[in-house]
Amino acid sequence: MKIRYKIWLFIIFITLVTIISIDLIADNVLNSSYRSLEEKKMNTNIERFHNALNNEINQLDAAVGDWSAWDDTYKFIAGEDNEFPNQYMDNATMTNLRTNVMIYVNTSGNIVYERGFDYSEQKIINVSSSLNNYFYKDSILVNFVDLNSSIKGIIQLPEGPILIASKPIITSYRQGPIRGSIIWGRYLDSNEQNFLSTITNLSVSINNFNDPAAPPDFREAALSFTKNGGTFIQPIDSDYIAGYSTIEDIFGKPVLLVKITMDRDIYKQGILTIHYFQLLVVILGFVLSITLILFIDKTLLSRLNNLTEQVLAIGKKSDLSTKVKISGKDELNELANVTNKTLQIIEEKTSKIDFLLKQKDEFINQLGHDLKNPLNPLLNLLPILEKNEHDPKNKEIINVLIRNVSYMKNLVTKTIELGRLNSPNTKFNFEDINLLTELNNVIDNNKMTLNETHIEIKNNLPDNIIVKADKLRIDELITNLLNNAVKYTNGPGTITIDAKQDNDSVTVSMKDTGIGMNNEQLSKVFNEFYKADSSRHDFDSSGLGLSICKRIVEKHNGKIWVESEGLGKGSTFYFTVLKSKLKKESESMEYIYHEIDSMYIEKLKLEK
Amino acid sequence: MKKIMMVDDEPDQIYTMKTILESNSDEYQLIGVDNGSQCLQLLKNGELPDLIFLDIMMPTMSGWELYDKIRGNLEWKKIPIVFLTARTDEVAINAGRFLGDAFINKPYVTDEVLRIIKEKTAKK
Repeated sequence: MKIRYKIWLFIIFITLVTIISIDLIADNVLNSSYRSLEEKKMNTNIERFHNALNNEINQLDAAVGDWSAWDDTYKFIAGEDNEFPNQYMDNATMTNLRTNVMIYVNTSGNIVYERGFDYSEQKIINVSSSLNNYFYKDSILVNFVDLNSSIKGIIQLPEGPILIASKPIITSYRQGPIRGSIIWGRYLDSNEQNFLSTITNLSVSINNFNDPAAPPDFREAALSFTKNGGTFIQPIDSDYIAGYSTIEDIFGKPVLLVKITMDRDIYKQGILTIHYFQLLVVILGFVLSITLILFIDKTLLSRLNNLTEQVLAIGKKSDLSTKVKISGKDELNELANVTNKTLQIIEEKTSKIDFLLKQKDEFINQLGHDLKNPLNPLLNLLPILEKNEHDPKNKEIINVLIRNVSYMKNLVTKTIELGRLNSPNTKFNFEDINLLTELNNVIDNNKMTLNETHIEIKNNLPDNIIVKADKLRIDELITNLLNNAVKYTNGPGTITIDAKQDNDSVTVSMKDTGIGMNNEQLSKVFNEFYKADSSRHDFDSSGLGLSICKRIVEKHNGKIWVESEGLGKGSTFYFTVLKSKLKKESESMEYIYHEIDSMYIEKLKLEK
Repeated sequence: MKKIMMVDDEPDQIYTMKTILESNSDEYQLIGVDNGSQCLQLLKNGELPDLIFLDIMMPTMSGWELYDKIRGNLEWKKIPIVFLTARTDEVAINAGRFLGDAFINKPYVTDEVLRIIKEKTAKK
């Protein structure tokens, strides 16, 4: 993977992790703090409602106080003023005092007077008979001992909850003895509930505490109160939240459940804030990572790529004198400088090597000339001497000389040839040649040897194979392979030559019926100076023939290999050579003119 | 009797050729010269051989130069020229092949030399 992509992945990964972490933390911390803020507000609202309710009860209680400590009432309850009800207890008073029920009870618990009135509908109503259950001699609503004491609160009636206030009837100067008690009541009906809603500016609904028919949320809240007490707060949906609280009756028993519904404005605002914050973090994260990527790209990766391309171009053109250039003054610049220095060293070394190689080539040529010239008289004069010599002893001496001179000649020519083939400066003269013609030439040249050794050649080459090759080298290759096959067939036998063509190349095989090879010989046969039997001094072999074949085939971009089924089972040599793509004929001639010592080129061309 | 001229700066090479020719046949006469100027002088004197063996690497005048001069003369240009050299580089081999009538690499094989002489002189 490229460094660029690694860095991209790394930065994107880090950014994502950071964004997700910050967002999660924000979500958790802010969310819970907004939730607690919301609950706080809800608790305040519940308290406000209770305060409002208590305020209502206290107002009722205060009104009762005005009427209970009054001589007129004191007289009326003792039966001394029968006109009292007609005089004071009218609809207007009850409307004014927002009272639904007015009850006057004597100390024995008997109701002296009662009146029911629906002030919102302006009509007389019956006083609930179930209220009578609360008026008996020792009832806390009736039996007052202290002149200043009072009872106020809520009573749950089958008709519904009612606000109640009760005080002892005493004189206007607040003197006893207590002659009874006044009990006023106000139904906590939908009107009263609306009133409370209006003055508290809250959405309120009230239900019985133990009401099996109540909505599920009330039942759930009731269950929570039974277990934990306190308040119960629960979001309804994303827009509203509900808070629940109990209302106890005058006996301290929870009778009502009030539900206050509140808009979740704090929470919604909070969520919005969190979302804006998260969005901001995401945008910032992306801006930051893109900036970082661009920065790293500009300062590092682009320049690194640039450097790579420059070094690559130098490699492709093999032009070591080119220097790499990179802007800035930093580590990359340092790398460019070091690369340039290294290139310079390589260039110096390469030119030195090139010079040495050239020297070596020249030396080999010189050596070839100098070694081969003196061999010529030896090789050609010794046989004449031998022919003319009649003394057997001298003849034998001369034969030894001939053999050694011949061996030396073989060694010298092959060594020089191999050296030249190994040199990169040796050029080949590629031309279109007919493989069959070349093969026939070689066979013709070796006819005498083949006849002497009784080896039959089976040549199955078709005459249409045209290859792109150096004629002399191919002749040398075929000669070497043929000589090799003849040498190791060692007596009567057959050499079969075949060719297999494909689109681009041809594979030539030369199969002999000779001594064959084992695995070790197969692997080493193309090595320089390898001889099948190194202990034997073989005058016919320099050990270089097959190495030369290998170099020739390689210089033709081909392959050479040998197969044998084992000792005594013959060997098959294969080589491949590229087929001709049929180019202009004049090429080879041009090539020669270029190569010949330049001062003669023009003249020679004119003459030809 | 056919006249074979051989230009080589080494007398031993000329001696070798002379011996080979004498011991194998009596129809060849070898005229050995050890430099180009002497060769040209002989040609100018009307000593026109049936074949010329030409060494390439010679002091004062190279085989190429001599070849050029012989081929540049209308009277001499039909004389077969066989390069006889120990050089094995491309330039020598290719030039020998394509410029001369034949090319023989030293050390040579007696039979090959005799065959080429026979072939090239018969053409005339």
